[in-house]
Amino acid sequence: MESPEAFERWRNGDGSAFAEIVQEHQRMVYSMACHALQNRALAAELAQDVFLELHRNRRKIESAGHLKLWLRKVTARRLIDCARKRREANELAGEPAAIPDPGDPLLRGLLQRLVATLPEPGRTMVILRYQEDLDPSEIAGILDTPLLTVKSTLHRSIALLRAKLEAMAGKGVGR
Amino acid sequence: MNEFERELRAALAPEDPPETLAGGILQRIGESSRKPAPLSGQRVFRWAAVAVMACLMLALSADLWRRRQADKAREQLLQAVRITSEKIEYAFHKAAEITEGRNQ
Repeated sequence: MESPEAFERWRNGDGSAFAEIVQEHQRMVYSMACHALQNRALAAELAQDVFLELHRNRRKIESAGHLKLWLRKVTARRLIDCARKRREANELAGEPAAIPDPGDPLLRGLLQRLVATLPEPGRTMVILRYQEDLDPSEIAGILDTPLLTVKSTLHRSIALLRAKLEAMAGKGVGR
Repeated sequence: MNEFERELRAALAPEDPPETLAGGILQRIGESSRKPAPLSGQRVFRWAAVAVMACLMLALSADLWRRRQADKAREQLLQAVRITSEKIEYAFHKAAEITEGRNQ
């Protein structure tokens, strides 16, 4: 899926190659933001910012593999920063606005909303684990966090999700 | 991976971005490359330091020039006083000689 050829052309100043790189990775960046923020407009804005930052830092990117890792790292960092700012501004009142997507099964939509309510960095870890299918050691590398911390945070976040889901099911929501 | 985690993975399946996303990114990159880079705090500080140093150098040079001009004027005045004094002394001397010659 990764295109070393487009990466090399981009590194050598071919502007059109960047469009290919955006096409290749925008789904990953946008989905991470969308799952964390539960707001398509904000997710698109954050994805744009991430790719602009990538363009500014193209000299620092060493390979196509490094590019993907860099994108995951920067997106995760921005999502954590975003959550911190929202918390500081006391904007995180209640659950975030749900993405209107009537085609989704009920449980899937509910889980998406619950993931978005997880505290950081657990939320980003869950997204990296289940959206990007990364193992805890890879997540530890991306977030510069000890492996044991990643494992325990993931464990706590999953337990919290389960508890929230069960509480909602008890109230007649979910399964 | 248990059932719950499988459901979580399905819930967090990647989503397609809006079709306008890539175009928006490229447009913003085009705009940012046309705009001159904003001055960073460090660069502003550096330029301010250079400006202050230039002003100081200018002020010091002006002061030095003024002092030199004043010294030059003082020297010229002293020279004029000295010449005048020599002339007066010479005149007195001549006058004294004439007076002595008449008395003898």
